[in-house]
Amino acid sequence: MKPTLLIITGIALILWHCTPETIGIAPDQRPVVAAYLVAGQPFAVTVTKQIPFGSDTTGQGQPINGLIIRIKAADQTITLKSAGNGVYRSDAAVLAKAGQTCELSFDYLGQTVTGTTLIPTRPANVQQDLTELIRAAGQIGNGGVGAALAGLSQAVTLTWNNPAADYYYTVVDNIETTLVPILANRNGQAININRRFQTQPTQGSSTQIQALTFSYFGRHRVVLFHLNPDYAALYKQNSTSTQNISTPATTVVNGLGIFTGMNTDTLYINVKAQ
Amino acid sequence: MLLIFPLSGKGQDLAEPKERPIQRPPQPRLPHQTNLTVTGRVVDARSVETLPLASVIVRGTRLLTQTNADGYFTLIGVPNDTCTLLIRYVGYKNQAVALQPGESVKRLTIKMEPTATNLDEVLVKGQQADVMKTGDDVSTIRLTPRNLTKLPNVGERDVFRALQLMPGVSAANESSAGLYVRGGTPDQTLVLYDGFTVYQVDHLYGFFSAFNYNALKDVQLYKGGFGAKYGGRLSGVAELTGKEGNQQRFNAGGDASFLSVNAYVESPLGKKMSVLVAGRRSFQGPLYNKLFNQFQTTSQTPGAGLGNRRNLQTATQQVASYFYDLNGRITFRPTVRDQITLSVYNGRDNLDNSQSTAIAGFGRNGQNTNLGGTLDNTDLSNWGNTGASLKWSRRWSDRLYTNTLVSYSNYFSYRDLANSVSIQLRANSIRNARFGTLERNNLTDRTIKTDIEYRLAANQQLQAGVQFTRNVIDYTYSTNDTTTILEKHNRGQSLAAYVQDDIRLMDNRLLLKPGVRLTNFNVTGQVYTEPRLSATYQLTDRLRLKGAVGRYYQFIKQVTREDISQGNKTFWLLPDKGSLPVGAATHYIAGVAYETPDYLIDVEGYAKDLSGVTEYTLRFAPQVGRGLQPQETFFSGTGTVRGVDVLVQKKVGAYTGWIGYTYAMVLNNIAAYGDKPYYANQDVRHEFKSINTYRYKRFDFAVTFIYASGKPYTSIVGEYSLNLLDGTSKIFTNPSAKNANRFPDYSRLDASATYNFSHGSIGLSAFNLYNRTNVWYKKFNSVSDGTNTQLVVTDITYLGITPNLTFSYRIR
Repeated sequence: MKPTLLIITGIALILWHCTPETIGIAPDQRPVVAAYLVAGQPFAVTVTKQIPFGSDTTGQGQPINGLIIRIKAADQTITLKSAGNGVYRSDAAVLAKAGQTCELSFDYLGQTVTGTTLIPTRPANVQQDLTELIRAAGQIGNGGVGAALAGLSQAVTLTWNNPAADYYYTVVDNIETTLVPILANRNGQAININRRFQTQPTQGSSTQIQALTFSYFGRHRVVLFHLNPDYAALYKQNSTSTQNISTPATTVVNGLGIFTGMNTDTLYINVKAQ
Repeated sequence: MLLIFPLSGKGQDLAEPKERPIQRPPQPRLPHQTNLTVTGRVVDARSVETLPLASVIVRGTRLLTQTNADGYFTLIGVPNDTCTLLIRYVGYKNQAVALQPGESVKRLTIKMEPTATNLDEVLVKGQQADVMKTGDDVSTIRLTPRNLTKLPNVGERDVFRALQLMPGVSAANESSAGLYVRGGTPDQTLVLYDGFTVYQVDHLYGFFSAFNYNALKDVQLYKGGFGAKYGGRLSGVAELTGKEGNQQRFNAGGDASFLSVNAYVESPLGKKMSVLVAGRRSFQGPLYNKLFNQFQTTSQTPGAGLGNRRNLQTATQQVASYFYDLNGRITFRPTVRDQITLSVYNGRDNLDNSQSTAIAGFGRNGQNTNLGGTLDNTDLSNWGNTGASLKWSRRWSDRLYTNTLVSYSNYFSYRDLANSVSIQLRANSIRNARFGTLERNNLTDRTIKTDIEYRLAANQQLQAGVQFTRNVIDYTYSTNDTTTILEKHNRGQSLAAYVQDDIRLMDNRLLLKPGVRLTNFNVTGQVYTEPRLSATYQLTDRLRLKGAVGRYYQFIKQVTREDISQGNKTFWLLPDKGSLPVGAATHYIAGVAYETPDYLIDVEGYAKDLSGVTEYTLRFAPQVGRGLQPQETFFSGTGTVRGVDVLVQKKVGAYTGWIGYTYAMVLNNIAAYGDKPYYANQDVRHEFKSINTYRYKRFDFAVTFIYASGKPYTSIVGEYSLNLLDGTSKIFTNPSAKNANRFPDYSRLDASATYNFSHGSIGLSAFNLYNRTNVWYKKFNSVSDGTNTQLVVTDITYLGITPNLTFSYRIR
């Protein structure tokens, strides 16, 4: 057996077993912006650092204070005031208005971070077919579930005008001071402890709030949000592997996060006991 | 009249004719005829299988030709009938055939003896027992499927895995059997099986290819610069030719390993027909399960509990996973001039990891016991190919040969990953809900083509042909049964015509192959012109210069849908006038081969400039909740490939093998990812392979070593959390620049020992002998304890050390 090839193999291995060049990544210094500009409310922006990637790094994103943050809304430029902990607010009298285009701008580490958004119009022609739902109380483990299932097929349908297929989103809150659970366990505690629930963003002109989704009796506030697409993008399933990594689409340049306007309408639903 | 006159099979070397022990007839051989046209065919001595692309040389002259797809050859201008023909074919002993003065030199049948048929025979100097052969033409590799028994294997002897041992074909892809040829992706290599196109070549998550070596006679891989006869792909062509079946007597055989059983039968049917049927099927032995668990990426979803009543659930797992494939081929020779071949293929993978959980009634102590339900977790992957071709080839004369083929090919893929809940609320009221994703891709290809070969002169052969293909592709990707993310229904047809001239000049030292291919693609309504030119120049007896340049277009695209939680899936689409452009490439190849009787040194440098490179990503998808527009998910740009392949091969003797080294750089430039080019996913900078086989008595030993630089990947540089309007927060990760990092280097050592006996062999193999941990991809998880979050990185690795035992048996 001629060992020539094996010898060459060995030499080649030594020569070629070098690490190929790897482009080192400079730690990404882009700030994270979080701003929901709600029509009728003062402007507020939160700026934090990213949580850097590293096996020894833990912690929440550290707030970035001391920035000079300006928002140009219509022809007016507003300079926000630092409220500490990375939060910046406008004066309480300066309010976002529907139809305004707002432009964010601040300098951070030599880069100008910008963002732009439109405050959407208030949801129009909002209707609800029911203001009241009837649910039976029940207790798991005492045979009451069967009875409690009664009334589950009810739903409140909200409708609104949406000719341009914009995004809408609903958040429902129980606003009672004392919580009375619909379904309880043997100890009388609520099976589902969330007093707030929401629907997925929709581009339709209606949504259904199922009786099944309520956990407590009493008055509920329903906030219908009229959104920009960048907020809806936050709900996109995001993957965390080397094969598919992405950040949601944003208008923020030289930064991460979201700078988006929204408008709301509020309705109420009362859940009564049978 | 048939004349069969093999002289000797041993110890011949075409480069050194003086060593050849030719048995000459005692009387002096005086020529009876001069300036002859010699025709014939080259066949396997045992099965009478014809051997395509065998070299036929007239000794003492520079006259040479190759057999065609049906094993026929025509030599024009042979000086006289005392000449001797030298025939060479990879995996067979070289043959010398002396023409008989005064006898016919038409329709010779030359029988080639496979190497190492006599087990106890000592391989003499000069005898080749190659698994692989390269260096004769520009960027071409020949493989002998029969000799795959000499190489290590994990369960299956695989032709595509073997091709990956050659330089220029990447070997560091355990999760794809497809061929990454010179910086290209698997869809850029045309795979032809008996003339029909195979669109998906993976079995068992790509660990094996879809081709059964028992059904194959010849495999030819063109790594670039291929001629005008082939079109529709940017990087390469793999042409697989099936066996015709034994024309002399019945034969059967098969293999059994820890993974699958594989059997074939072949037989003559009367005097004019032969048939071969081969099939294999995996079984769920320990090796199958190991591979299945290694490559199936879905995270298990256990049956969700309802309160504390877990004890009332019954979970049933319906794992039923297998792959199979079937090959059949009937060859009919109604006359000596005609051959009709029907070849069919059917293969399928069924990977089912579903489970079902029964939820008992909610009622108490027997009340309302009919209130209950089931939670079904469906995790099903099916894919497969069906292909068939009917070929009629005819030698109209010694000079004119035609080959007409009608083919059908279908590829389907079905992926269902879902949870469905069915709850009985009342005796006659059932509520059903389903969450998950469903993906279907179905592709059919109907092709008719005719190839014409006309030998104009001793040194010139003209080839021409036309091809019409109609593709129908449907693709749907939807979630929760209602939201369609992507839906495509493509219909397209292409009409292509080509002409190619093979001309030998300068005393046959220079072989030029100019050609041009024209394709009309009805979707874009354009005609695409592909000029091609390749040349080899025999500088000295040992030194050969090679070069090629050509333009290539691709009218179908395979797109990878990146998805880690469910595993990456690929699907096929047709280009369009908008965001999915027709792919185009220009090849430039230059090389030199130095060949002695014992060694071959082959070096080829290549450059490819590509346009219409497309990536599919949801990264920039701006909206959710509706079907996405193609321009929101498909991004196109350009690419460049630069590289060099080096091969040093020891061809003969008890110890044979080769060292292959590839240096390549693949850059893509797609504006959506940034203004600078980035390294493509398949960019492997250095790839080194060492293949060593040693024959000792009845044993074959083999050691193969593969080293490859790590592939690039996109990492995470940070993460951040946003508070949503409902008060919850969600964590988002911030990716690094596209493919700015590299995985650790890949390396692997495989070894095997095979004992041969007269009717078969027993082989012991070990894959990844030193149990190297090779990274497939990385997974990032964000772990939070309520106040702090931390990123946890997990390496998902390829297969560790895996032994296997293969038993092969054949009647003859």
